[in-house]
This record gives sequence, C-alpha cells and structure tokens, in this order.
Amino acid sequence: MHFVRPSERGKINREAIKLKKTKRIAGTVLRALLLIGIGYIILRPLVFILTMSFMTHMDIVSPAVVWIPRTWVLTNYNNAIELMGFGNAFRASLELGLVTALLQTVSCALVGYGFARYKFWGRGLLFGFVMFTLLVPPSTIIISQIMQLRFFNPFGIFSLIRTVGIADIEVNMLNRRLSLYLPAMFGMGLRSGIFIYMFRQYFRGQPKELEDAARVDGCGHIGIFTRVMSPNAGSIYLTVLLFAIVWNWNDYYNALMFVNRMETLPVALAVMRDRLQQASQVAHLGIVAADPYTQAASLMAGAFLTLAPVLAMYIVLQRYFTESVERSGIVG
Amino acid sequence: MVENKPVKRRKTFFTMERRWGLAGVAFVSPFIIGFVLFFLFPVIQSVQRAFVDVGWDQGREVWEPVGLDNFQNIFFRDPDFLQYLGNYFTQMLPQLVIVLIFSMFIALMLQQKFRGRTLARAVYFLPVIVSSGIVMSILGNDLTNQAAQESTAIFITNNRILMDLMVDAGFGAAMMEAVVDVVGTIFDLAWRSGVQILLFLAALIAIPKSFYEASTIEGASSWSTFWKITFPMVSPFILVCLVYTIVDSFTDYDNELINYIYQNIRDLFYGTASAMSWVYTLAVFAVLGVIIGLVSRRVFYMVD
Repeated sequence: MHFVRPSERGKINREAIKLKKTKRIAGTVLRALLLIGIGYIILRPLVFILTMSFMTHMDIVSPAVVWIPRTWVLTNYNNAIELMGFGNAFRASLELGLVTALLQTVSCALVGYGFARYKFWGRGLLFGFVMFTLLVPPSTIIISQIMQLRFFNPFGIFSLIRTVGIADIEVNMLNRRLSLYLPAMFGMGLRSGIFIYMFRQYFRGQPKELEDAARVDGCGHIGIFTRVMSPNAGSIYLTVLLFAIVWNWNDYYNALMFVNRMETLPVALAVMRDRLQQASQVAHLGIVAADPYTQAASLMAGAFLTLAPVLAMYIVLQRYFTESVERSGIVG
Repeated sequence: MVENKPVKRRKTFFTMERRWGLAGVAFVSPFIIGFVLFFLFPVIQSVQRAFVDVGWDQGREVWEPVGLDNFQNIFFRDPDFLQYLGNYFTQMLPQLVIVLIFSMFIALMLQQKFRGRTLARAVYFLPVIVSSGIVMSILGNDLTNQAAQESTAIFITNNRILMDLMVDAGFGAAMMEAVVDVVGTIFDLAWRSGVQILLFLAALIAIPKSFYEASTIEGASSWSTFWKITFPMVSPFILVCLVYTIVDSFTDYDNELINYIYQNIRDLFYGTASAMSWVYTLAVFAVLGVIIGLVSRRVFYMVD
C-alpha cells in the first residue's frame, strides 16, 4: 500500500481538486465552442437573408462585403412589397392564422380533455386514430380532400336534400375560409393530433380531487372543464396556441390547396419567386430589371418579411416557448 | 300485516358510469366528426382511387375500374418510382440514427446549467418556429440554382479562399472537402432536429434529481451515470423521436418521392398517384412497425 505522510495528505488533495477544476473548465470551454459553433450554423441562413436583403447589386458582387452591406438600401423591400402584394397577403395570413389557431386550440382542448378525464368504450382505439392521422402523409388523401371540399356534402346531407327535392344545392368550399376553419374546428387542423396529445397528457396529470370537489359543489361536466380545469391549464393553452399560430402562419401547402385565391404570405412568396423567374426571361416587369442579384436580394427581402412577424413573436414570447418544455405535458 | 318487501330498484340503462362515459364521448365528438369527415372518407376514397382510372366529365371525376393496372404500372412500367422508393429508404435509415444521436447530444448540453442557457435554447428551438417550407426551399434550392447562384458564389468563394489557404498549409484537399461536407450536414441536421431536441430536453428535465444525487454519493462516474440512469430514463423518448423522425421525413415536402406523387397529381394521373402513395405509405408503415418492434422491447419504463 502506498504510504502517505500526514504532511503530504493536504497536497495530494489539493492536486486532485486542481485536476477536477481543470477538467471542469475544459468541459465548459468545449461545450461553449460546440454550442456556439452549431448555433452559428443554425443562425447563419437567417442572418444571410437579413443582410442580403439590404444590399445593392454592387455589395452583393463585391468580394469585400461579406455580412455588412456598405450602403443600406430599402429598394429590395419596396420590390418585395410590390411583387408580393404584401398588404393583402399579410392581412390574409393574419386572419387565417389567428382564427385557425384559435379554433384548433379550443377543439383540441375539448378533445384532449375528453380523452384524459373520461373512460368510455373504444377510447383506446379512438386515441389510436388520433395518432394515425399524424402518420398518413397529406399527399395520400389530398385529392380526396380537395374533391370533397369542391363538392361539399357532409355525411350525404346535401344529396339527401337534393333527392328529397327541397332544394338543389351544390356547395363549393374551395377558396373559402371555411375550408381551413372547418377541419380546425373538428380537431383535424394542421398537426391537430400533436395538440390533442399535449392536452391529454396535461389534463391527465391533474388531481382527481379537484374534479370531485367541483362535483360535490354541484359543477356539471362543462363547468368542471371551463371553471376548474381550464383556468389551471393556462400554460398548456398558451403553448398550443403559440405553436398553432406559428405552424399555421408558415403553412404553405394547405393554404395553396384550399384557399389559393387568398394569397397568404408563404404563397405570395412563392408567387413572387415565380414572377421573378419569369421576369428574368420576359423582362417586362419594370420594377426589377432582369438582374439576378437584385432579384435574389428582393427574394431575400420577401423571405424576411414572411418570417419577421413569427420571429418577432418568438423573440417576445421566447420564454413561454422554452419554459413550455419544462412545464407542459409533453413528457406526461 | 305489513308486507316487508324489499324495495326493488329499477335497473336503469344509464348508470352513473355510462352517463360519465357519454359526457366523455361528447367532449371527444368534435374529433369523431372531423375524423370521419375529413380523414376516414378521404382515406377510403383514396384507396378506391388506387384501383380505378380517373376520367373527367364537366369537372367531376368519372371512375373506371381497372383492377390492379395502376400497381402494375408503377412497379413494372414506371422507371422512377421504385428507384425513388429505394433512395428514400437508403437515405432515411442512416439519417435516423444520426438525428437521434445529434439531438440527444444537444439536449444533454442544453440541459446543463451555464450562463446564457436561455439564449442557447432559444437558438436551438428556432428551427421548430421557422419550419416554413417555402422559406427553407428558397434557401436550400434557390441559392443553388441558376439565378441566385452567382450571388451565392461569392458567399461560397469566401470560404473557398479560406479553403485554398488551408490546402496550401498542408491540409489535404479531400479532407477540406470532408470538412465542408460536415458543415453542410450539420446545417441540415440542426434544422431537422428541433422537435427531437425539444423532446429529449423535456425528458431529461423530468428525471428526478434524487437519482443523480444518489449516484454521486455512491461515487459513480459521469459515464456510468449516463448509461445507468440518463439513458434508460429517456429511452421511451428514443422511441417517440424515432417515430417522429420517420414520420417527419416521410411526410416532408422536400422528399423526392412526395414531389413525384405531387407531379402525378398535377398531371391529373389521380389513379396512379393514389396507388403510389399507398405503396409508399404501406412500405413506410412496415419499416416503422419493424423498428418499433425492435426498439420497444429494449425500452425501459419506470413504474412507480
């Protein structure tokens, strides 16, 4: 056995502590380097969009200008606003995004609550269906959905009316706001399955005593939901609402398929890209000369305008997004 | 004489339990209606469409049953479909593993306490927020295609100068290519793993602190703490993340195969498109089933 003289004991201890400290510092530095490095890779495209959108043709071409434009110009934004029809697109996005998100949050809360707090025949199977709706790719059923909305006939009600002979109705739901609102209302909006799951996990964790006490005090089913459970669930409501707003805002394909006449921002951005590509061939659009650099910069300006509202919301409410991870029922 | 007959209680059909169950069904009913109307009917129609040839009569579809013709077409006559399907799986499977390891690694770092953690988390969740297909496609595709190519050429040239310097300094050109490749891959990876990082982080935060305290007192190294505590505790989420990653890549609009299906839809080959998407869906479900079967047996569930 190694013998340590009493006078040397403290020294060895100190050395061990020193080694531990060095290790910790090395770990911190390594972690900082990795996090900053990968963080830079994530942020780079956004910074790239932002800076390039302010650049002139000269700045883009100049090898001396990397990130910061030498002359800041707003012409790209003017081009983007004009080519996108920004005002209308923004209004359409805002309206569709907010209303759809709200409807989605309310319907998913109800459904999630039902799954969490009640036992009924076929609950497991039904919840399996909720998950299944997330698994089937939209491309599989998109044709059917479009045809269904084109000749809208829920459960054959309209054709029944027609055969009985009361009225000859043919309802075309395409290009109406309802074609996005209706699925959202019935728990089939964009990624509604995830939201139902989140609500279910959250409500499942609430104590049974809360419910019992409310029942003894004469609260009905709806009363328990609206006056006892929901006020406690503010954080999960907010989380779902935020995600719903963001995802609906960013949504391109549903908006394109169901309401393409109302150009939302992502659709308008795609339209602008097509117009620019045509402009480089036809060059009849006076605003943007057939100059690929200005075109690219204008496209960047458009992309930034599309992202800006969501980014602003994220920066302001960032705390809720990140905290929601810790508090919400994602884990269950 | 008073007849002492026990009061016979009428058995009601609506027992307390049943009434509660009905209330539950009422809460869930929006989903039931929505599921039947906006999911089940479309699914059934789309299966039927896979077996018909779709013609048109004044804007309405006319279905002509053709049996298995659509499937024969895509399997034996279409040169692209099977190749795209194969490509999808050969790309998806390795990516699956990489995404999982990457997101777990990032989540482990973001979980630790350090200054600026909130900011770091905000940055790493950003891909979940900016998951805008069209902006990403402008960044991903347009920057590499003709019109914008020249402008990005400068962007890349800046790196190229650096690269040439490095090559001159004695680093092999092949190695530099690899470095550039890795950076590109990390970009793709980081933008794909937002949700997975979020899930793993939530799982890590949910592990009771007392477990770690106990293991520190027992003198466990951080390596064995990871394998004996952290890993088993987050293992259910490995399964969740696996499923999410597969579904995400499988329903992704950047996907070659999905684009091919959309192209068929645009060309109004509705029958073929439906057959393709069902073959695709079933193939992915089969892989999903195998993976879930393999992994779920090794998952550790803590039972209190």
